[in-house]
Amino acid sequence: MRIIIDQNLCTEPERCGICLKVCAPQVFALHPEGEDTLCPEKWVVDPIWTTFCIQCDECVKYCPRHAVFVGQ
Amino acid sequence: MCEWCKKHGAGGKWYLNARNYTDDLAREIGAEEYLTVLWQNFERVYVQKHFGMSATGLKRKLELPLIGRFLRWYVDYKIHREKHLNPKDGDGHFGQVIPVEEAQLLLNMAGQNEGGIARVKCVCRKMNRNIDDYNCLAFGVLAEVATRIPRYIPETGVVKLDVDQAFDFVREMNTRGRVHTVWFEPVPFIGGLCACDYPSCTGLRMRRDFGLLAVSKAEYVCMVDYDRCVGCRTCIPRCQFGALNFSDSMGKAYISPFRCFGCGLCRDVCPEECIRLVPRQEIPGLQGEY
Repeated sequence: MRIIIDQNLCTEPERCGICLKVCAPQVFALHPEGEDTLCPEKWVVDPIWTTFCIQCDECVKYCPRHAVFVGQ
Repeated sequence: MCEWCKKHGAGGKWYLNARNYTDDLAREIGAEEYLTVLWQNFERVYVQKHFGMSATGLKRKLELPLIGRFLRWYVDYKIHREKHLNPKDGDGHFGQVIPVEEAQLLLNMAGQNEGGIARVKCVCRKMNRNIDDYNCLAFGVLAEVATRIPRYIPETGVVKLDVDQAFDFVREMNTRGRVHTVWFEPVPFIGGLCACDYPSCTGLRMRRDFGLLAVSKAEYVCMVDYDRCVGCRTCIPRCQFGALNFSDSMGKAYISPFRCFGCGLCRDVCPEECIRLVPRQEIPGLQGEY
């Protein structure tokens, strides 16, 4: 499954995080950008467990910035 | 008795061996350096490349013939290794499910450290669901390390608990239906007691969805006393492991002995007190089923 998050549109995932909560198979993960950080400046959402994606499209529906794309 | 009890249990269970909580041991194995790197990079454990391979599509990779078998062996070996640990990958950080009464014994030992017991943010829930949930208890050196990293402590400041407060907290978590897990970080130092639920917990997720041994089953298994079970179904929603269901034909609760992790959550709510925790050792067919 191809899941793409447009990182230009998804600018504040740490405040939002809606996709992380609505995803039933819990495909996404939130992580700080860069390594070894005490106070990460930027957080990023990435689709990690893409094999679990059931294409329910909940993340696409709920994303307030239309940053998620799910397709073959 | 599991492999870790034999190695680090001093004749008993590994998490009931007082030496595994001591500051001396932590110093001896360099736990502070390990934990500092691990906790600063914790949320990146999924996105890190392991052995040149990312975790993306792990399920498919594990199902590959031959390569999948090697990969499974390699990941389990990496999780459980005791030397040459790479803290960024979380090597040597694995745990076991425990019932609530053993949490009390364990907290008594953990409270003796210089660092004491601190309540910190759950890394798993943050990275998996973006939930700020302060429900992990960190012991000793980890309590010191984790409270130095601003994103793991509440905005109101560090929460330190004494043994009684910690146990009250664990009991509250038990009432809310959380599974108690105790963690090596790194093996054999015991760094924390978590209140987990599937699938937000990374360890339980690894275990249930991928069959990787990041979390072992408890030393116990739950058994229903069929003479006393009245079929009230109170226990049914408590199981996180898909081991418990209501058998309509028998009119009683049914627990699969192979799926049961022995956390005892169902036992704690049974009004008839008809669910027992039986040591795995006493059941020949379940010995070694961790």
